[in-house]
Amino acid sequence: MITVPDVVLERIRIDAVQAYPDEGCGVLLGRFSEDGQERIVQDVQPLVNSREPQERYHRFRIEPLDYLKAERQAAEWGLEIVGIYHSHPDHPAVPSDYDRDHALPGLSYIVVAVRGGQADEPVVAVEPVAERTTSWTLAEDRSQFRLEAELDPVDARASIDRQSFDKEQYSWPS
Amino acid sequence: MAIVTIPSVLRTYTARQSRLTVPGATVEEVVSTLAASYPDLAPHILDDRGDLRSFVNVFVGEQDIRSLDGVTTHVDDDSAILLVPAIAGGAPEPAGRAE
Repeated sequence: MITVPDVVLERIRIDAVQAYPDEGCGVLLGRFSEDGQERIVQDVQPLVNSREPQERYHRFRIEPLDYLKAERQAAEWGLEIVGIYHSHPDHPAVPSDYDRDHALPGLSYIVVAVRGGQADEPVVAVEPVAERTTSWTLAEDRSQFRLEAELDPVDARASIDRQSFDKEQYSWPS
Repeated sequence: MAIVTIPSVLRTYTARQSRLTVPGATVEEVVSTLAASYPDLAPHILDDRGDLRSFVNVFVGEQDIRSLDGVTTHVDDDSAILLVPAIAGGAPEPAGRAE
């Protein structure tokens, strides 16, 4: 379970949009509940995507020293790294197998789908927008991610037909 | 012997302890002892062969062991070992919109 203030979510979405067409990434700072099952996010730290420029459209990596720096800063504030966020440019907010391979149980993984309107869109200037934001946790046996929360504001993207949203087969709204 | 700092993302497996004093004369010995002491931690830092997983970085002091002697890097009683997970991910292949 994850709790995220709207202001923190907004910062995540802004970073995801600003990173477009690359993947944006960062760490979620906050506290774990006593039983470790809940992550209470209080702040966010965007970090550099250190992948090669030609790979950043579909990959991110946080350098160990950047991670260490963020963790130390968090500790100074009495916080811990409770999760990771990253964006999927022009791809749904669903973690990939690649994400799963690099994930750890016990954390929240927020994925922001950013749509840039570049691919097969009509010729209309479209600013990148954060389409959907989801949060996932990795099963202890590392077999799968489980959706723990949808984090979009209720009034966001009114054009999305939420009734048709299929968590298993999520695709872009038509 | 070394003082191992556990990153917050792995403290679930060390009863949320952030620093542990672990016996061993090399990084390899320290990590192996640590994994044996915390079996739930083991699969997240070691692979099936007992080697360090590729996405776990180990620092002695401020230096990555890759720039030292790797897992055979010697440690003293006051050595500080940092385990730092490589945080990575990305969209599924092929990149583009899901149908």
